[in-house]
Amino acid sequence: MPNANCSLFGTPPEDGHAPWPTYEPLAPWHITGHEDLWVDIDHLPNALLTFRNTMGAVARGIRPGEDGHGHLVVVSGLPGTGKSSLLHRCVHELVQLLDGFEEPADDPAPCESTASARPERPWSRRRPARSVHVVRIDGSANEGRGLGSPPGAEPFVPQYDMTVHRIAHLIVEKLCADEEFAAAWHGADRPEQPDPYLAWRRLTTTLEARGRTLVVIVPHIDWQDADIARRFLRFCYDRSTRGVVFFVETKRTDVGRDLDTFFTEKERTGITHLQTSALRPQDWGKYLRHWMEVRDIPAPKIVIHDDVLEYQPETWALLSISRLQDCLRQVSQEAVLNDEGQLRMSHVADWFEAHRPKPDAFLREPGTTRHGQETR
Amino acid sequence: MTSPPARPPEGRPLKNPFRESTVAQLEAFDDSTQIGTGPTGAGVHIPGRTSAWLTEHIEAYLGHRGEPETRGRAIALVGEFGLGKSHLAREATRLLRKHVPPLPLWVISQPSIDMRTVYQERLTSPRDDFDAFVDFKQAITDFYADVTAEILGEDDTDRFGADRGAFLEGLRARRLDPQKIVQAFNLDEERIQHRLRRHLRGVTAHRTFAVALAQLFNRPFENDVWNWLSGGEPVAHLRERGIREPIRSIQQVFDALAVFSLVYGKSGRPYALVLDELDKTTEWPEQDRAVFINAFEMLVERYVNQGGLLLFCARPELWGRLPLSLHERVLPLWLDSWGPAETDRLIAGHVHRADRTPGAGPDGAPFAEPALREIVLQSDGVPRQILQICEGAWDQAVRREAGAREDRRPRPGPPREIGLTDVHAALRSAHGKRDMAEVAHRLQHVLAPRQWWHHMPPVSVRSLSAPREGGEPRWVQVTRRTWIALLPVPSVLAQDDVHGIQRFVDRVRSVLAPENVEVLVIVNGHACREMRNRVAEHCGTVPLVFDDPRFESMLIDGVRSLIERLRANGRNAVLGEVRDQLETIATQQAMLADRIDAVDHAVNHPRLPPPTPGPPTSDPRVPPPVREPFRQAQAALDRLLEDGVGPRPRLGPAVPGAEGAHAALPRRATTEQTTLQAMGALLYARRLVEAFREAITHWWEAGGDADGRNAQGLFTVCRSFEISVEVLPRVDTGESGPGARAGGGVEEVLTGLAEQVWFALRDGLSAEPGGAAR
Repeated sequence: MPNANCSLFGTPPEDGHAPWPTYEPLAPWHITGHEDLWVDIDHLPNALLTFRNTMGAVARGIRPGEDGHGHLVVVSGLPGTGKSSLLHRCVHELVQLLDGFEEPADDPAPCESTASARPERPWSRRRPARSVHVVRIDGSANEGRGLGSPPGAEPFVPQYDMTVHRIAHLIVEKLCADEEFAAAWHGADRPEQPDPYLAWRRLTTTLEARGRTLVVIVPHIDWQDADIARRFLRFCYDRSTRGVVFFVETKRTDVGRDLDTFFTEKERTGITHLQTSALRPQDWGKYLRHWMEVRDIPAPKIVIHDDVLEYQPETWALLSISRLQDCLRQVSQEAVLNDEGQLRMSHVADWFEAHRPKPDAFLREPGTTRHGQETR
Repeated sequence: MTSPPARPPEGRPLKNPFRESTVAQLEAFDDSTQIGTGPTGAGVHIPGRTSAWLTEHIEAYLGHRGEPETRGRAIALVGEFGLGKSHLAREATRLLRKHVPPLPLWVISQPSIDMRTVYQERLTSPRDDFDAFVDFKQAITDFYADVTAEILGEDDTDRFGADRGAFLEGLRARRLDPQKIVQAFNLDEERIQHRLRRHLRGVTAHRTFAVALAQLFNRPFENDVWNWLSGGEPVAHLRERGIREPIRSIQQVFDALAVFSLVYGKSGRPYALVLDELDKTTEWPEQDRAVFINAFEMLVERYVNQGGLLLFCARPELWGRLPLSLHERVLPLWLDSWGPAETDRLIAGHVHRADRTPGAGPDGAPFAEPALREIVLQSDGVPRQILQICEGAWDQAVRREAGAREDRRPRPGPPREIGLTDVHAALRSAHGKRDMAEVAHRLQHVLAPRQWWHHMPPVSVRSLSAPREGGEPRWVQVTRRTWIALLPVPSVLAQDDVHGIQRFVDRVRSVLAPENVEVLVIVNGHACREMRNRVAEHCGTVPLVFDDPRFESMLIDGVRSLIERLRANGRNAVLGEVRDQLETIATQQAMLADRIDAVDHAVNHPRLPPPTPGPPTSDPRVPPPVREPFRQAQAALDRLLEDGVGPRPRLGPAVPGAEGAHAALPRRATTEQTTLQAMGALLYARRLVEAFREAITHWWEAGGDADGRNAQGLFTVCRSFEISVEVLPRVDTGESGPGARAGGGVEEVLTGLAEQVWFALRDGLSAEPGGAAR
């Protein structure tokens, strides 16, 4: 039996080996070809436009050194609405933009020229940017799990002090993976600075010496406390200077209000807030059509019938792109397993009907047996 | 060969059944496991009036069928030491623990300044009680469900499709699990947490607890929050979120109890807190006590408003000092002294406790009837005292009976009979352990620094001896002549002891005069309320008991009070003498003033002698033959009118009273109705005489000469006068002076006048058979 794990609607990993995992964001700054999987559904073009407009105005100021600026990009939205993919897309565009500043002045389209001259295979690791270090805090789990937890403790309980301390160390550790940076960092022969501010300043000074900017990608950290979440935003903003750009992802839907309330108007010029939201019914067809044109998807594949494109999911299913992906992936998988050859609308409709939220599926646990009472 | 084990006769216990049973102690945890063969600590419960009330209230609370919020109540068991407050509280906890299904119950047997230890170590945490834990989580889940429903109600994303209404209704009806919904629909948990904290803060009025309760829904936080709620140190991530210190202060512990009250109250199930020995707080520093009372007041309010049952024990002194709001919210159940019936049942219950058969042995044997009555008297109806006396009397009887045996060994089993002497011996033995010398030393210790110590008694009473077995009396000299005698005596158990004290007091009073001496009796032993009253009745002072922990302060207060009383006695004596003198002077002055008044009146109104009869010049028209009778009658009536009837009225200042210290008062002259009537009659009589004279004169002149006058006309006039006089009221002039005719009154004067006129004038008429007019 051939490999039944369909790679449709997944995210190609490095080297594109099947099966493609799900729930992974597209990271075009990291893997080539991810940008080709981008679908401009609903809100994303607006968000990207906002980002491009903001960055277009400030990007030239983002550079290392005393007179350099930084920036804070906050991407918020409910889970499954494409926050991470948007964030990585923005990182990719920023890297392209900053690298473009490094290109010779006579080259009018650095991005396109880079893309056209791309020697890499599809889904291969992208070559590091020339002018930017991108540091992704935590791994691919796309969450700050364990980032601020003490060893051996419950993994989901973040502590603020421990988190910011570890972020600073992780940045240095990941930057030191670059030999030149490591040489510059260790070559200074200075003892490790216990003071957080001075340690950070040493880092930016080293970046300045190398002429590199720094992009830090921070996943959502479940603070479970609005005050601490605000403190953390303040921490990221304070560190976004001298060519350091923080991309912070958060599931908090109130973050826009926090930014307006707890940051001054002047401070907000150094902050870009992007939001994701639910899909629209027409995004379903847009998404499927795009995927039908995607090349280099590993077998097995399945034909998608046109009636599937005409299907209109109910609004509850459009809250999360992950749910659409789940649906398409699972029905594709079943079609492959059943050797049905193509995906039909009925498959999709049945799946949605089966997964429609029903109150009875959310009943409380049966009452615990108590002395003198019967089990409910 | 060994003798068979002795069996108690009639199922009575071998050992003293009253040992280890006098103090009830509440247990924080429900533990009915019997370890070993020791006492069960169950005690003997004698249902009384207060017990029945308490049971009634608890059953009403548990059986409440209305709104859960309206079931709340706070009950105070108020009574003096040893009346059984703790015992009743323990019975209440047993009753509550028997309830099915079990209810959350917290028991604090004794508040402490170190409330953290009480809270952490001695108080049941929800985690100690599985059912309470489930209730707690259910209640918190209810809060969470409400908040989730509220947020979903504001949500416009249509994420539930057509079933939106069913989801909201299911959440509010506690049917659906809010956490499952939040996770399945990717709701913003932090927003829900934020709203939940705000909501809980509104209801708990406490930010820290609101944060903690909200975090109970974060599984990673749950264990740490429970640790903190159980009194543990908050972990780092809780500290970052505002939970910075453990629950340790008095206020925090009561806040925690209030939050538990809130949570369980919201669950609609009964829950209770029993707090014994609230009086311990009176020994705390003022600040801690104030904090405790404030926090306790808040807790009572929460329990009453949120459907809880709060039961606490307090002595009357503390109960009276509690804030007014507590008095308004708390129902006090007062514990009274026990009567003979309850005492008998208590004793019988202990004696027959070993039988373990309900209702066995209602009699108090081996206690004899006089002994039982004596126990009632000597214990003042305090159950703890009853049990202590019984314990001692039992041992005394066993020793007495052993002493009577030849081998001097105690007979196995209970004593045959416990009599009055055993009770008295037990009391003397239990309370007479301190030597009289110690009393003397203590008195010196208290009195000497205050300069109240007088080594020697007054000279005149040096020969007096103290009552039998009493200590040497001590004396405090208040003034040169006044003294306080402090008389130490052993236990006052019977009337003989009281008589001994009375004899001493009588002799001291007879020597030093009652107003110059006060005797304060100090009982180095036991004195029941009745005996104290008897002594107080005779001495005028309440005896002090040397064993009383407040003896020193009571002694100081007592001596101060008696000093004041003696000084007041002295002042009263001087004032009395001065008052007597003043009264004498005032009386003399009143008498003198009276005499002066009389003289003054006599001068201003001299009583002149009646004018001598003069020539009849008054009215020349009156016929000459009758002028004299008319004049005499007129003069007699004038004199009577001048003298008046009854005593002569006197005006002017009144005579001072016996006190003589008041200013002279105006005097009101009064007379009687009969007197006024008599004087009116006199006046009328005179007018009648004048009318008679006018009529006679007219008759005389109308006749012209003797021939013209007829006897009939004269008769008519005279008879008219006569019958008019007859209807005049009788005038009793009381005259006995020289002006009064012997045996004569006004009637005689007037009647005589008619006759005189008739006879005098008739003779001058022509002969006529008119004489037949009569």
